[in-house]
This record gives sequence, structure tokens and C-alpha cells, in this order.
Amino acid sequence: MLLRICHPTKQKNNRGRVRGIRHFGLVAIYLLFILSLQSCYIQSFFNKKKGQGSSDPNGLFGGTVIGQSLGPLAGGVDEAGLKAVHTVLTKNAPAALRPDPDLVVRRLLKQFRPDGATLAYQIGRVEQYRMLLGGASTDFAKMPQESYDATSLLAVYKVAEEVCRGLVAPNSSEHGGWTSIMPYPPSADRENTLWLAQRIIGKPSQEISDSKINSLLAIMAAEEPTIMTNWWARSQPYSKYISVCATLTLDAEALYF
Amino acid sequence: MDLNLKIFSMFAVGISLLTNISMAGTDHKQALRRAQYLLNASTPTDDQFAVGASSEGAYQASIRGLLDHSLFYDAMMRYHERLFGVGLPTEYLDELQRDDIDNKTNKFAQITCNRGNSNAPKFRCYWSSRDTSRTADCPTTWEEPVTVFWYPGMVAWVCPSVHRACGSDLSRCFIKYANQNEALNAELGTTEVFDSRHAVVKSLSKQSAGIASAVVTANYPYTKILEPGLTAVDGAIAHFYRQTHHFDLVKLNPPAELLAVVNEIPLTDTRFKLVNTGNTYEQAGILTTFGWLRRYEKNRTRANQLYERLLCRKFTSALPRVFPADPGNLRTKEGCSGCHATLDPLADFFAAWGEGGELYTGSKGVIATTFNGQQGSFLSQLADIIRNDNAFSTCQVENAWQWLIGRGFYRDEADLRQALSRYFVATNFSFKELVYAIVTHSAFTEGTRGDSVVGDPLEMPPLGQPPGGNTDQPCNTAISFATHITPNLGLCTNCHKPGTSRQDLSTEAQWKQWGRQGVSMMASGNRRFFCANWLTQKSDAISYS
Repeated sequence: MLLRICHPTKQKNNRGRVRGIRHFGLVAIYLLFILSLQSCYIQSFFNKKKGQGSSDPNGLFGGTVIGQSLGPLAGGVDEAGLKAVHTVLTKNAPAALRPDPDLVVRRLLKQFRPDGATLAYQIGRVEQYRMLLGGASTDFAKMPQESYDATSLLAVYKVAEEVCRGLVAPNSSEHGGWTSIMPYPPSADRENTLWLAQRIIGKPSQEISDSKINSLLAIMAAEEPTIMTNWWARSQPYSKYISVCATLTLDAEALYF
Repeated sequence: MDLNLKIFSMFAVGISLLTNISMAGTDHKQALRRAQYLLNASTPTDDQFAVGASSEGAYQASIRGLLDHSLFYDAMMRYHERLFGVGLPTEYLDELQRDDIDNKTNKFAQITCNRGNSNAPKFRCYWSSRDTSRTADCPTTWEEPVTVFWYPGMVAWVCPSVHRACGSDLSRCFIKYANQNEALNAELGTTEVFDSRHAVVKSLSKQSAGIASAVVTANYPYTKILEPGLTAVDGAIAHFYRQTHHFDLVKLNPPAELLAVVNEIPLTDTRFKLVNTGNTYEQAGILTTFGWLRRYEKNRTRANQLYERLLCRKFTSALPRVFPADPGNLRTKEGCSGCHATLDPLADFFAAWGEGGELYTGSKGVIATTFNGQQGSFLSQLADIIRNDNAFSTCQVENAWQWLIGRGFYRDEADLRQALSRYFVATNFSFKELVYAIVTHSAFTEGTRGDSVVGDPLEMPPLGQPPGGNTDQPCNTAISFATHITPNLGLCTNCHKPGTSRQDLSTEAQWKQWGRQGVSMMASGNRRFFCANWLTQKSDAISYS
């Protein structure tokens, strides 16, 4: 929507006024044409039920149009045309993609947590790391990083430790209303670790090697005594998985898609 | 082994495996994982892999599901935020509350809200001017419960003066939330955390992305993003407009239809809705949104950005060895005209809107100008020129390709870019179908990963061809130096003359040698210049009579 007060044909000098008058004539004709069309559109607009828009006829999400018709929709799939496109091949592979550093925390949390004050609080807690992660400046003068450097890698791990606490071992004072996302009892180390690896790396479970799981279990065993010294860990048996969760965010498969 | 060393050695081994690649062929699991992350911001579960990666048909069906999923809207919002580069710096929070936005001085009564600590669980709102001494407003026993407009069902406790000034639901006041981090990240309607300034600025910033995202998800032709009279409104912007005692919306002269719409959209509706007012000849969709015009404050910047972002073309020119103290007319000055001869007339299309803060109070005249050999004065006319040029559709293909494939096109992928452009046009500019075409292409489903840096990139899309590319028979005009080139020679020889760093293009012999490049450069600003569109592609066939 525009935020504009002036009318473009208001001129500050005679030369501009002449141009303005000329354009006013064109505009008037244009407006008359538009007004002649409007009656049809307005009629069709009010014939619709309130809230009904020109959305996908299949009833799937398709946005809404308010006001005059926008005209016909774009086309659907053109099988012949698509086949023609797919026959043009390339020998060049797609590039590895780094998850958007501005959204990586939000996306990870929102896969498991509902919107709400707790989620906003959690995202807010790590917002200060967004620039270290390689995020964009608020005005996009600085674009998000598409690869990692040492700073952003360390920031990933630091942020992951914070976020994983809210996912794996939430506590009532910081994560009101949340329970652990882990599907198995705390003692089912291998099952929980495999599940966590699948969800964070995003690969099928059968493609995650035993050696990777063993390494993660070793890290968990080494880190558990340290983690359990924290006040928030003592009453939460899933706390030992925080180091597994954080380590997985540094897995090469999780860093790039 | 030291634990940290172990963690990072795992990472290093993984990275080395990742980068040691060779083309391996189609991998639907890998492709589904990438597609789901890009299109729906999540990773597939084992069950989703089992269904969606079992065959090519299953994969295609899964992609269709991802494109029709409501989360695709969020992906489109982010895609377009990045594409348009629209975000507003935090100082706009203050600007929203200053007088100069609409010359209205008595506005934005501001209250601060928070829940306090666990010993004071009541949600309270008080005058922001009393941030440091809340109790000075009134004794606690005087506080009254009110509902809050941003989170139905919740009660806030306020002093009578706040109740009187802000109304029974506090909607007449601007709300500041005590914890800025929470406020910045809160999702409207899902939490008691709300800050009017962040909500409004975020929405105004994203408005152009909102138009484009709504166009895509509703599957309207993508050319609609430049449609005169088309805008998009979400709950926060509607809320902003509704506060008439704060913001003088009437001065903006909006259509009555828009005002009616504004009153029907609840604050908590975070999805942009397309609003077609249809009668505003001066508008051009995304180009006339607040977020675009305020983000790019100068007309030249606006022109440069649209040239780059919507046409995928860059103004590049070698700088003069010595900058003149007073360059005079940049459109003709040597060393400047290479860019400004095209850039400045393009910028003139924005003249009516005023630069910087003039957006609110300015009253500028329109200027008759040209772009790509076509005349106009209004942005709506510029929008028509742009969207009727194949460079626009080719650029959208490039942008979508870059997003999904993670790199630009290689020079040897010209046919693929052209095929995708033609398909995009053939589907009446369906961006959804374009995404589907790329995500189901073997270039996407390929299981290996390469570098994002393209060493031999495909050239910028040429201007001057109709959507879909020029399928006409080759231009059969015999080019005569005297007839076709000499009248416009000055466009080139301002820079390309003896004694400069540029190739001299003064003579016919030089044109025969360097004409291919010359024509290509002229095609950027002179669409009809002796069949430049054809010559740009078929320049090997240039012959001179």
C-alpha cells in the first residue's frame, strides 16, 4: 500500500502544469474506462460470500483477493511443456545450500513447538546471535551468509546448546508448558539418539550409520557429568541428550542441504 | 580425545565427504529433503521419506503437496524479502511516531505492557513516559481490568487514565512491550507479547513481499506483482490505518473500498491479502509499496535496484580515470553516460513520488521519460514495459533457479534457462509451476552437490524481447552504418573514442570488428534499435551493407 499524500499531477511550475493537464486527460479517460468495468466487478465481489477470495478452486490455501477481480489465474501444469523442459539437461550439479541463518533457529523450534509466548521468548534469547550466525541486517543491506566461517560455526554450536535445551530438556521456569520432544524413555539412549539424528539432519534413519550413532553416544557419555551440574539439568533426565542435539547441528549433513 | 576436538573432527570428516563429489544421478531422498526444507521449512520424517521418495511419481506428488501447503506462503515471504531486499532499519520505529510522517502532531499515545515478575503475575500496561516509575500513575488498588485487542481473552490491568485514553481494549494507543527481544520475535495472535511499532514496521517492510507471496500462492500470473492498483494488507497494517486519531489515513487519499477492507481485517491476520483498488494509475504493485520506496530512498537507487532485482541486469561501467569536479549532465558526460544514459531516465519514472521523507509530504511533478526505447511518465507505464519484456520472465527464472539450485546458470545452460523461461510464460507466468518445473528437473534431483560459485556464468538476460523470447524470424534488415548506426553513434562515442580506456567505435571498420558488443550494450537502452533484440542473440550473423 502506498503512503502518499500528493497527487502526481500537482505541479510546481508551468511546464509541469502543461504536462499535468495532458496527463490528466489521459488519466480521466483511463478512469472512465475503469469505472465502466467496476460495476461488473463490484457486483461479482458482493455476490461472493464474505471472506471468499479468488483462491485455488481445489480448496487448498491460495490467498485472498479483496476488491476488484484480478482477472484469470495463471495456468496449471503443462505436461508437454514440462516434458520439453525436462529434456534439456545439464552436467552441472546443484550447489550445497546453507539453511537461512536468520531462520534456522525459528525453523528448528517451530518444527516441534507451537507459536506462543514461550517460543517468542526462546527465539528472543538467541536473537543476539543472529548476526554472528551470518544473518541479514534488518534492512537487508547485509545479506545472509551462504556459507560458514569460524565465527558462524561457533555461533551455530552456541545457539544449538540453547535451543536444544528447550527441545530436549525443557524446564518449567524457562520453557513453561513444554515437555521433552524425545519419543523414548531417557534410558533408551540409542533409540533416542537415532531419532534425534533423523530429525535434525533430516535424512532417513536407515542412512544414518551406526558409527555416527556410536560417536554421538560417546560424546553424550563424556558430557553428561558436566551438564548435570547445571540447575536446570538435575530434575530433567533428558538433559544428557543436549550435547547430542547440539553436536548434530554441526553435522555436515545438517549444515548443508 | 578431547571432546570438542571430537565434535569438530566429526564435522571436518563430514565436510570433506560432502565436498568430495562426483555426479551420481538422481536421488529422490536427497531431493525431497532439500525441497521440503526450501518449500515448507521442515525436514521429512521417515514416514514421509517412505512415501515421497519411493518413485519419481511419488516424489512429484510430494512436491505438489509442498507447493499447496500453507507453509509455502512463509517460504515465499522469505524468498521475496531476500529478493527485493526489503527491510527497514530500526530507526523507522521512531519515524512512525514522529510528526513528519503526516504532519500530525498529537499522536501515538504510548503505553508499555508486561507481566512483571513471578511475584506480580498480573499483566499491566502503563504510560510509557513512566517506564521507570510505574507506580506514579496510580495506586495499584485503582487499577481496572480491560481486555486487550491483540490477544482475545486476556486481561490487562491499567490505571483509569490509561483506560480513558486508550479505550476499553487499549486499541487507541500504541503498545510497547517491555522485553524488546520477545516483542521482536513474537508471532501476532499467538502470545500476549505485542509491540505495535515492531508489528507495523515489520509489516510495512514486508508489504512488497506480501504482494508477491499472495500472488504466487493464489497462482495469479507473476506479472501481477507490478499491477497498477494492486497492493496487499495484513492485520498489522490494517490496524495501523484504523488508528485514525494517530495516523491521518484520509490524507493518503485511499479508495473507499480500501478503507472498508481495512476495517474488516483483524490484527491477528498475519497473511497478506491482495487488495485490488484498480484505479490508481500512479501505482506499480511492489514498486510503490512503502517498504520499497523507503528502503530505496533515492530515485536512482530505486531504478538501479529494480534493474538488478527485477531484470537481473547490472549497470556496470569502468570508472573514469579522473572524476571531473563538475560532471554536468551525467547522461552525456564521458565516463558517466555509460550507465546514466539509461539509469537516469529510468529513475525519472519515480519522480512523482519524491525521495526520502518527501514520500509523505512531497508534491512532485511527473516527467516524460523513456526506458528501453518506450516512453512514459508514470510507474504504471514503467511496470508495463518491464513485465512485457522477456528479461523480466527470464530474471524470475534466474531468481527461482538461484534459490532452489543454490547457484546461477552456467554459460552452457543457456538452453535450459530459455526452456524454463518459455515454460514460465506458457503457464501464464505461474511461479508455482516454475518452481515445480525446477524442483522436478534432474538438475535438482541430482544427488551430488557442487560449488555455489559459477566460474563461467550465463550472461545477463537481454532487454527488448517479447515474453518467452523472440521467436520471430531473424531480422532481415541489412544494416547500414550510415543509416542505422551513425544517427545514434553519439550514444557510444561519448565514451568509446580515441584516447580513452574504451574501445574506439567511431568508424565503420571498428563497428565491423566490435559491433557485436556495441549492439549488446545498446540493447540495454534502445529496444528498437535496428532489431537489437535479434542481433543480441544472433550477433554472429551481423552483416553490413
